[in-house]
Amino acid sequence: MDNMSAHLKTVTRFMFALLSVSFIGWALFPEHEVWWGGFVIGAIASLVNALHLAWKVNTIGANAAAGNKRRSTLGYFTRACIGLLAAVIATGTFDFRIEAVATGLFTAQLATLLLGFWAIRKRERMQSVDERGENN
Amino acid sequence: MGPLALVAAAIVFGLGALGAGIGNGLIVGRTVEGISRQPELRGTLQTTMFIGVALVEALPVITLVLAFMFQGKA
Repeated sequence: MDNMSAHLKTVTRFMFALLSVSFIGWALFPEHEVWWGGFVIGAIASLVNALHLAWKVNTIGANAAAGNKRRSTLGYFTRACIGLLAAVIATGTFDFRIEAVATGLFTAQLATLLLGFWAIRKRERMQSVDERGENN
Repeated sequence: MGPLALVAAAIVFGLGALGAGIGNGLIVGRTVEGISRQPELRGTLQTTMFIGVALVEALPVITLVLAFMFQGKA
């Protein structure tokens, strides 16, 4: 459980850093506002999706560990609706580019994957192995 | 494009959701099985499941936006 919350914290930090870079880009290059705005809205929706997914995964894990027979879903419909809401807000309210929203919607998932691989490699590198192949 | 764009939207989102459903089912099923067998490995298994589900679900969310784009062109 601690493992996942640490990973989620890393992803959240990365996303906030990416959002701040996007806002700086938006301020420096306002002529590309339709792209920056779409990307920001997509990235925010993506971060919300990642947090919701982490909560759902934690619930399912807790149920499985406790041996509960209670059914719990992964909540994909909610996340799909959040993505759709982001697309509607970006195109309907602000006239941002929908391609930028689609790119933004992918960022938290991509960050989760890449940062996860990076954390696994880092953990493996930190675990020393003696000459008999045992972990110390 | 007309009605063909609507058909394209339906196909792209339908197939994306179908693939994600199968993938999520496999990932969650195996993880729950693993946690039930070894509850002490819950943290590791949950993290792996989180990464896997995030990867699987990225595609249908993008297909949703693509479907929305196709619908706009209809």
